Amino acid sequence: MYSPAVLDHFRNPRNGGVLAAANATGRAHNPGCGDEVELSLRVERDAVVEARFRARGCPAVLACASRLTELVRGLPVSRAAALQADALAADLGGLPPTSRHAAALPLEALRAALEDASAAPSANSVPT
Amino acid sequence: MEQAYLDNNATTPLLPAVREAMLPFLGGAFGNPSSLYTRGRAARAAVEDARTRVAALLGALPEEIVFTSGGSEGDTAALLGLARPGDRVVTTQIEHHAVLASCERLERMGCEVTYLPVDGQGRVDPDEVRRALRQRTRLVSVMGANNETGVLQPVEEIGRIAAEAGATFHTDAVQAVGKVPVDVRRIGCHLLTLSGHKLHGPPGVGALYVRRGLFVRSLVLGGGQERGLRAGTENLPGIVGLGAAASLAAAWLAGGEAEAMRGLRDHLEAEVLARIPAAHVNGAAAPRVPNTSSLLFPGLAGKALMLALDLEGIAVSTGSACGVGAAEPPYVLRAMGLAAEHAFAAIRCSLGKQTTEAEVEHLLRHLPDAVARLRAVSPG
Repeated sequence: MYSPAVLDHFRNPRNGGVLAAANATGRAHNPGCGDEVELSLRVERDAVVEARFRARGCPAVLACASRLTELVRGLPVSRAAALQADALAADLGGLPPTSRHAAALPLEALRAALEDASAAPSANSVPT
Repeated sequence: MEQAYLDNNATTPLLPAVREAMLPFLGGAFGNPSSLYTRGRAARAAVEDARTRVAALLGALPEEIVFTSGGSEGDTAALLGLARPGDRVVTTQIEHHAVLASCERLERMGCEVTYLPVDGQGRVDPDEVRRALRQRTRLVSVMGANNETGVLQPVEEIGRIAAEAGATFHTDAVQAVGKVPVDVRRIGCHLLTLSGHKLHGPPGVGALYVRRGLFVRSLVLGGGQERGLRAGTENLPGIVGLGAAASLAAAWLAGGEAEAMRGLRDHLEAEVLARIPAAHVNGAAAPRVPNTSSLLFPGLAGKALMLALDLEGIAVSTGSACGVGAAEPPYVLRAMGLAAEHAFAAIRCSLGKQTTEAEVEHLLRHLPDAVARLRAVSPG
């Protein structure tokens, strides 16, 4: 039912937890099914240099959030903001039809975090 | 890989003796029970033998047993077969979907339906039933045991209250029959639903007890089988299997084996509470069937825990199956007063007659680590 990549991220989540040096955070919540994703980012010179996640929800949401922290690392903010749910799902070898929505929630958290970053001066300049 | 099947409230495996009883009727002993020649008469005899066995399990008369396709049909037939537009119907918020969906249909037909709440342990208060029945009520439907929590409802008391009020009493006993003694006379019900595959019989067959003299409209029209209450050529192998399962369930209950099952379930719960911080058993203070355990682990999603255990060969269930962008609300736990995030954080373990200590130990070996891993990445 789940692809090997989804199961791998579910079993061995990458970058779980809260980033101590974060300068931007974003959350997304689906009250209908109780799923929740939180991303903490370190953004420097308009690029994501590090990302961590915390999530509670269906296995596909956890796997998508985990994979997303890998994908955004090193990306310019503009490219991170342009990531699409279909692309995230495809990157994980696809999601079962009933889990298609699972890629959207981590991306919603990412967009919230990137908006947070744009408001933080430290994210737009060279760290001192 | 080592396996543990702990989802017997979803379905139970056929007991070998049930399969043996069915096999001839899947082969050479086929026949239509309505046929008047030898083969048909033998099929009829097998159906009536099964009817006697099911009746014996329930303390009913054989002619009060109507074979159906299972629990959902039994519930639907009872509710839609009895209530008329304008009738009042009283039920609870924690019934199976078959009852709740039937009640919604009744509302659209012009019935007035009252959905009674439950307390924090998942029990209906008989006084609430009494108050609801002050208004003239056609039908009361309260389940015997809840599928999610295993909590037993005070159906004998509710049966007395319904009788005093002149209301017809239906109980969905799908999750109670075969796990605790169920006697239709003690309960005082007019209608009772049971399902074959929940008591180690085959799927696709069940029974509706209809008290003698009660008229229920048939939902399935045709050849007048089952005293005109359920048309359609009888599911001969299924009915024979249900009959065999009923006899085995009666013997199992008489042999006191339910206590061994309760002991194993209680051991599971005690170990979970001892090994996993902040774990909780839903409905633990209420009387329950001996096989069911609704376990709550705040901080995680039950559906993720279900997969984590599945990857270890362990089958459990969760009340909230994730669908297309939404999940089915875990309404039973919500009705018990659990906050949404807690209702989503539960799994259900349900034992069967074949569940071994080794299976429970397999669960206990993997559960604490699975819970810890999911909590480690949880936002709280």
